[in-house]
Formats: sequence, C-alpha cells, structure tokens
Amino acid sequence: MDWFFDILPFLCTGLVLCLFGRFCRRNSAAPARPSAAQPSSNSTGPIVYFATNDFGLSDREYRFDYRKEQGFWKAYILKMPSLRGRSGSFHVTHRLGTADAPFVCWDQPLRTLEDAQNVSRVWADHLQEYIATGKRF
Amino acid sequence: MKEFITGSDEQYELLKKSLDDKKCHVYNCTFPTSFSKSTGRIGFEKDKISYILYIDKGITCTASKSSLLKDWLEAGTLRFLDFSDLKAFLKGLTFLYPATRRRKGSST
Repeated sequence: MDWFFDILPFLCTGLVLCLFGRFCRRNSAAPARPSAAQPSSNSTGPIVYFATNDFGLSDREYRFDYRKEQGFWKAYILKMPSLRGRSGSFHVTHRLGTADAPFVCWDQPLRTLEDAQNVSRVWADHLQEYIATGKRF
Repeated sequence: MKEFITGSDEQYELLKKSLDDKKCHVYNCTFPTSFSKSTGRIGFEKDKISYILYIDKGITCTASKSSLLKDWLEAGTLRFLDFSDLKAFLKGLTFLYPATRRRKGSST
C-alpha cells in the first residue's frame, strides 16, 4: 500500500490539472486583451465618440477619458475637432480644467459614469454645431 | 475586413444584438493590401461602459489617413461610447479599398 502514497501526489496534481483545463479552457475565439486597455475603477481610458451631426465638417471625432475624482465623474477631453477659427475660450466652449487636461463643464456634479457619458455626448454635439455655425450654447 | 466596411445597416444591427451576450465575438478577416499582414482577427465586445473593437497586434498600415486607425492598430484595442460610433469608424475606412463604393441606403 506504500506505493499508493508514493504516487498520490502525482495523482492529485494530475486531477488538479484536468479540472483546471476543463473549467478554465481559453476560448480560442477570444483574443488576448491588452492589459493596458483595461480601465480602472476610477478611469475608463480613451473612449471615442462621433458627434451625431457633422454639420458638414469632415472631423466629428471626440475622445474622452472619464475619471472619478472625489466621488464625482468628469469627462476629460482627450481630443476634439479643430475650432476652425472660433473662439476657444473655456467659457465659450464650456470647458474647465487646464489646457493640458480640460474636462466638460456641467452645472452640477456628475454622480455616475453614465451621467458623465451622457453629458459628454450633449457637449460634443453642441460643440460640433458651434464649430460649424458659431452658435453659442 | 471589407465586409465590415461595406456592411449593411441590417448586418450591423445583427452584430449589435449579438454583442448582448457579453462575449467577445471574433472574426477571421482578410485585410487590405495596405496592411502588413494579409489575414488576422477582428473582435467585438460590449462591456458596461463602451463597445470595444479589437484587432491582432503587430499590424501596420501604409495607407492610413486616419489617426484613429493608426491608434487602433498600435494598441490593438479601441473603445467607443456607442455602437454607432464603432460602426461609423469601420464604415469610414473605405479608403482602404479604393474601389469600394458605398451602397445606396446605408448610413453611418
């Protein structure tokens, strides 16, 4: 019976490997996800939005990074179209923060990520119209 | 890959609905001649905050007129706020197939 105890560790190891292979089998169809792309709980990383109406402009691409700071969400603006000569003042374009890290201005703190995303859509759509027509918002 | 650039609204609706299963959907594609690889995988996934577009890493493009395309190829991942944004990006890549003509009735 001693032989049984001699091989027991190998049997256990084999059993564990079999179970691991059964329940943790990689879906061959699922590509490995770059670790750098995984958002943290306080920052989503870059997310692309195209303004709903291009107003005849070729560029309607916006990129946001949604960050949770002190319990509230902000939509940081990573990319926006050229203002094409329109005033770029933060007041006129409803932005806050710094030139290097501007974020969308809103009249109240944004409590959820969904709120921040909705606000960024509205802001981008209005800014697109402002760029094309000069209409203030 | 051309099938995504020329895909119809109905096809994109089917793709969008398929992503509700919260799985990554991967397609083996033939890439345009301007890509450094002739074939590879493109993946689609929907998570809580965005729609994600994956592509095999290590691919470059000589015909890139789009900084977004370049960023996608470099990172292998691109996140979109809405599915319509993902669709608009892919359908905007018609320059990769110069002979491709947009079908009547399809929209971005």
